[in-house]
Amino acid sequence: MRIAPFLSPARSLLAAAASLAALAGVVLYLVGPSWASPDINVAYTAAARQIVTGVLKDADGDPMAKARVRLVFRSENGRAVKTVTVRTDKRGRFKVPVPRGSARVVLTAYEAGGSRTARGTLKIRANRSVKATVIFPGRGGGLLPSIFPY
Amino acid sequence: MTAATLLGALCAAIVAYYLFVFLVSLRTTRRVPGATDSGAPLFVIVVPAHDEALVIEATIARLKALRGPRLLALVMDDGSRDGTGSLARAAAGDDERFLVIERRAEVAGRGKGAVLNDAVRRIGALVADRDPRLGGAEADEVVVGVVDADGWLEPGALAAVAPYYRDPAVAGVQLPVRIINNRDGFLTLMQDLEFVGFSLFVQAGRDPFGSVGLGGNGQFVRLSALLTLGSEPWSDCLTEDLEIGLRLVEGGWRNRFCPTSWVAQQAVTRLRPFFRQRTRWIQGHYSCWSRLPALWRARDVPLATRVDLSLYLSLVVFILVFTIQLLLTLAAGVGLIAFPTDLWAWVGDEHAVRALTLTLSVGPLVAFAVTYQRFATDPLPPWALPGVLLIFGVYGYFWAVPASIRALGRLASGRRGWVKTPRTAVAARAGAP
Repeated sequence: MRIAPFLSPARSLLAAAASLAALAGVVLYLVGPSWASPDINVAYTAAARQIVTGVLKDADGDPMAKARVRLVFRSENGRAVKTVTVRTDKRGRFKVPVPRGSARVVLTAYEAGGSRTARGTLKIRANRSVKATVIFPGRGGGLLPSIFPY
Repeated sequence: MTAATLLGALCAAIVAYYLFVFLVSLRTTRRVPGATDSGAPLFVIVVPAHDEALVIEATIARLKALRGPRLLALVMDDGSRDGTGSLARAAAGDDERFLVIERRAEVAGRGKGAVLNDAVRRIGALVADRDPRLGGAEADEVVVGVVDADGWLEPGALAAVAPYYRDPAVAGVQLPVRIINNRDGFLTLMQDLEFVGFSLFVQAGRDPFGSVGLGGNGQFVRLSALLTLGSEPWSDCLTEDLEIGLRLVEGGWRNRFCPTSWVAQQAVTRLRPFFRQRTRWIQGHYSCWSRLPALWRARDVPLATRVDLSLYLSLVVFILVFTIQLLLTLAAGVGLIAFPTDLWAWVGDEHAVRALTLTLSVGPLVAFAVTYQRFATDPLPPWALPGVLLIFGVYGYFWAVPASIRALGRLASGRRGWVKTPRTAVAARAGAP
């Protein structure tokens, strides 16, 4: 491949540097480790027995122990029925009974000793088991914004 | 479903639309009407010229070099004070195919639309008078071409456009635009990438729907179609070219795209006029939303055409949507806010999610690159492509966000003023593009 200036030499050099940066960025994005806001993966279920159970995992799938989970139960019309905060066990699990009159629960998970969070909403239906997974939009689990705006 | 999921899904849908249009363009750019030996329309090229002394001689020289179908050129000197008219007459010489028309000072300077309307009135009169310069052609055998005073038609352009007019339903044909001074710097190169990379595939991808957008330069319209739009086909809309294309489609006509030829024009080289031009374009796009109700009332227009045009017109708002998504994602990335999305929960594997999001993020840029390398006069060296595309991404946000905000502000305050985009001398560029 011939490397010859296609604009002025300085601009061509800038383009070459940008090419290296772009390629490095793509490779890092695809195979690199998590950065800044790593993923917290929350999977939770509203079971037939009206108990919300869930498990918190990080980007590598390892359970997150001692993490704080805040659940805000809301009624059909959006009124807050009850707010409960629990901590996960050693396996990253948590379990909270569903208060009467709850239609959905807004769940926020906080990393123990860290600032990472994940948030999601789950609908609660009587005698039905519903599963949901929320992934925090950090590396890998999130949405890479469009590189161009139009 | 979180706000991030909704926003992400919306952006992903727009990217998917672009990728769909790109795939269609791969097919349409390979299937163009064959050349025609007989029955070609008569072309009347209109060159609106207001203080164009720097470029008008080169433009007329290029028009003289056009091959193929019959031609009449009207240079509309719109009250120039820099000698454009006399330079044009000298450049035309005794070539009877060229008419230089002086628009009186009291009617001059009212914008390009007014000049084009004047030209169409004069062409209509020539047809009605069966002027020998038109060879007895009827209105549906005459095609009016619009070339900016800095526009250079490729020598075979008329021969490439003519076959599209074998279809009597075709009103407009648009040529791709190339940038003459595309290697003057990053700003001009980015504009070339926009026209040859982005606009070309978007236009070609919309060709099967007959909804191709007509541009201000390299636009061709059948005279009989223009006459159906009344005595003043071009409005005073800020993007009168876009608007006339919409009105033609509303009237049941088809607009096509001719990828095998081109018109070249100058890029804007200075930032202030560049932002002014882009603000005008965006404001004009928003203004054209007023045509949407009429478009949807036009039941004769195929549904796919109406959907495509509506999508195309609404894309201008996605400049801001994409920007909001970028800012929120960056803020979440550094831990400032929680912006959770479960958009990709169904994928499961983290690396698959990364590959998918990367594809959606840079996929359209790859489509630009493929199109640009195929159609550019001077393709980019492969080693420079990733860097140029990265710079193009930055460039997109650099102009589109401030221009959008300014355009919305002007719309809100009812300002509709228009300032002509400045030219630079072209004499030294006789060989380009």
